[in-house]
Amino acid sequence: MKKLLNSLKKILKPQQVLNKPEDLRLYDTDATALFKNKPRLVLIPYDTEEVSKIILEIISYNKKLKNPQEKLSFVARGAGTGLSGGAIAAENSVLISLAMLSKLIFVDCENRVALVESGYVNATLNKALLGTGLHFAPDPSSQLACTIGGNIAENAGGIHCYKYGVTADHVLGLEIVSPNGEIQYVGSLVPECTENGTAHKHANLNLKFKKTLSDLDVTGLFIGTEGTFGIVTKALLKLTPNQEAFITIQVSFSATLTCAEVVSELIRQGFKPAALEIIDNHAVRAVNAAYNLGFSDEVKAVLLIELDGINEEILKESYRIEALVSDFNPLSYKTTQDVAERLKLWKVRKGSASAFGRIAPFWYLYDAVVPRSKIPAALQGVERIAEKYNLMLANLVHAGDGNLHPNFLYDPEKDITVIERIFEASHEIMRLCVDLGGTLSGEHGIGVEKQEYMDYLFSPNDMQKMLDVRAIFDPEYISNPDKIFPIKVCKECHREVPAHGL
Amino acid sequence: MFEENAEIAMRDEELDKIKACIHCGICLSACPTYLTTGNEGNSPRGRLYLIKDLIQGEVSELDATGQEYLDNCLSCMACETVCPSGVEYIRLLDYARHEKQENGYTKGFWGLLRKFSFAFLLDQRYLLNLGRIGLKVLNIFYKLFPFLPKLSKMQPTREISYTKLEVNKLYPSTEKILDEDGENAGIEVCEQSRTVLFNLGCVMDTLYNSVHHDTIKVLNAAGYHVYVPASGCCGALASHSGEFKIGEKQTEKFIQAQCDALNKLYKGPDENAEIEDYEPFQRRAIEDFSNPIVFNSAGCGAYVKDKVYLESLVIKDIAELIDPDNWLAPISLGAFKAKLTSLKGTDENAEIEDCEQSLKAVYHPACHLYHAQGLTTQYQSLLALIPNLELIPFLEAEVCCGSAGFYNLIKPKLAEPIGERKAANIKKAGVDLVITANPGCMSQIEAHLSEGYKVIHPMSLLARCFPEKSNI
Repeated sequence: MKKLLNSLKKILKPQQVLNKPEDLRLYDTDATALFKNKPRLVLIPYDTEEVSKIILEIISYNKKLKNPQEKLSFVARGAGTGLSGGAIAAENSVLISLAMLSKLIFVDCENRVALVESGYVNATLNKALLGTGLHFAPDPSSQLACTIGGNIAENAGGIHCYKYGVTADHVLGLEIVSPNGEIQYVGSLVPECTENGTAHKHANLNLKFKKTLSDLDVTGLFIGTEGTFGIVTKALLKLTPNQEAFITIQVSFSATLTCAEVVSELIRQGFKPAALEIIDNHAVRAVNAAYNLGFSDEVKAVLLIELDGINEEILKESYRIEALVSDFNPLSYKTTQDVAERLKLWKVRKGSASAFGRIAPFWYLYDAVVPRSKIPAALQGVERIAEKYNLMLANLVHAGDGNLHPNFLYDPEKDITVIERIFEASHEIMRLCVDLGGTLSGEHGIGVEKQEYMDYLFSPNDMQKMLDVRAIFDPEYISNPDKIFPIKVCKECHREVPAHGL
Repeated sequence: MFEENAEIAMRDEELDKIKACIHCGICLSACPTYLTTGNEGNSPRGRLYLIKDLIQGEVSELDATGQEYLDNCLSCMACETVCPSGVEYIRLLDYARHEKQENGYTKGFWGLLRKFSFAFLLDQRYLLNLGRIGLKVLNIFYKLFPFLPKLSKMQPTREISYTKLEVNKLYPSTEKILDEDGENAGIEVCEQSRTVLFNLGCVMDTLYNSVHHDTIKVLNAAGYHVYVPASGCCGALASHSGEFKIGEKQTEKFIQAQCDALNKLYKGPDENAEIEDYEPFQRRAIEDFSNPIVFNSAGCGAYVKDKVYLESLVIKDIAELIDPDNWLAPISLGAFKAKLTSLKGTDENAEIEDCEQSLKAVYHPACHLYHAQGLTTQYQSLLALIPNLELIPFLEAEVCCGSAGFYNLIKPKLAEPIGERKAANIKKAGVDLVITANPGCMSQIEAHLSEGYKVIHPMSLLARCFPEKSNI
């Protein structure tokens, strides 16, 4: 380890290499409070070239090792806002923080693309795009802090992904540092001068946008692999034109189930809103306490609907929605086209996840997906499971794409067994969702949180196929190892890979 | 006068507040030290993680690394603004800093020197004046020997003009003032309740004395009499730098000075003859005074508001006091006709040219206004009174500039990248005029912007819009 430190200190400045016990403590988890593991070392590179050099150093350190068990791996981290533990270091892992790769390189309004470094913050991009008439569509709830690199790793969605699609639909090309240390370009991102081959000698070369559609979609393959295929250092993003007009509708109900039924009815009748969100009882209570939104105690669920497009069309649509909703006896119905008012209506959703801190000191946000038509059944099931395990439940639902976010609010000091019960309950929820025809994760990824559930959905054969693809990118198995696939499968796979260079 | 050693005696239930932090990370992108170092330890979430270990007894004390991370905080409070869980970060940080009496700010030779400057220099006007003259001499010295390295990037190189403002003096709003048409726009003596206490403070008076003159001019124009109490530093600088005891003492003295001033105002004429001229002031009993203590420095206002809980003391930032929508003033809003088009050059009294072009500027909201006092729009609406002034939005406007009291002198290595980042964002906005309402921000931004840029206090800009006074 000392040798590695010495060689790293030759490449990096002292403030880029963190190895004190308290440093490692600070990086032992991301926003997932339930899982912790300290990295061996934390590195903060300033550019792509430094990322590449770090990986080359790790590889050469591994080659000199006598005991292959001590082999170092690495994991990339953006802002550490992930909720599935994807950025938590595995055993013997070096954590590479991409926080300082935070430059906006160019915005090309004509071609509607922007090139950013992977540590660039999602919401900052939209601030920088003000006045251009364009925006970057994926908008996860943590967008104020989460990085584009993290969005790509987890294939993040967000409130508007029902209409506009997830991150994978908005990334055109990538600059990646492969697990062998090489800098590579995939998709529509190409270096301006490609002569003389090796790209990593030209880290500062000009990159440009080139329309490519005919090649193999490696970009698509790479997105959502949670850093197991390598580290993204730059991303060419597709920008979406802002819509002419919007209407935000906020409806409150006295029962969560009614709310879910309204969603099913809306979708059955063919509406395609930009966003469709359910916020249930405890979530409403938390946000109400945090921001004084004035919901009465009767309110057990709030439905947010946002329409965007051409003014006349969405107005017509909103009248039809109003008529539809009124059949379900809502407690309140608010609608606005004003920007400031819109933010107020959205506060109940955008501020919810973190406002849970006001009800209980810890909160476990679960991510599961069912077919849209099964939302009422799923919500009922989740409620039943929460009751069975005596857990405080708060539901946030991206109803448009059937993405459930049951939140368990808890205080382990007051309730010693609560964490065990949460794990058991989430186990059951996962089963329920898969049985209803759903899947494991809508947008948070598998990480360490759900790796043990993978076999609910995938046969050993399926998983082996995925691992085979992974091995093409990372034959040494050093890029964010022991994630996604069940630990047992990971370990087996690890053993199968011949240790090169020994 | 103080909440019983507020920071120290945090109750158990208050310690529970640390639990409100759910480690979500929303604060990261708001934190200036995280933005410039990328280090979790330099983020609010990281610091709270360490404080949590301290409070819950996982560790008995932080090691040097952890302590440094706590010391590195600018206390800009941007994280409290964005925190959806309402974590009271500053209280928790102050608590943790208290835990270890000797922190990075207070130990060693430099710590002693700082202790001395906080305890004596900032509190004595004659020492501050000596300091200012010292700076002047230093500047002449550097002009003669330009090749010598500077002591610090923060060393002011501009000409510091200084016209003494008298303490224990009333600056009344009755001077006849002519509006644009030469009509008398003044009114007779205003109501007594429109007398405000305005303190000279320490840094502002020393480095930006002209801002004080401008502030009084604006207050007078808005119909306020201005009384200047004989006070020293309010204690903000010492407290923000971890010298809580010195700070508390200074605050106590400061408040005493306010009470003395109010006594002088209400109990009638003593040695100050000028007050004698204004009979109405004597009418009110001291019990129900509600004369605001007004600040034009963000840091002082935020600190005094936070520390003083005497209900009868009304503490206001100048932008809170002056309501542009409800302008009860000798000078009507219509007199705001002067057009600002250019403010180049260092001459504080540069003539204002009259032309049609608009003057473009950025407004940098000081953290102690925006985050600590929640004054997010007041200055902008005051500045909107100025015809031809166009405020250009810029990236990371509400991120700290790195001044943070004396932070830029204590931790130059961290403050410089933060200042440079601010300067780069300002340059990207394509303007050469920066408006900001705190002496610390003014000097920090000045130091990081190159020649050709001008940093100005909103009051100086407003003061230039009035027609010149005339004593008819």
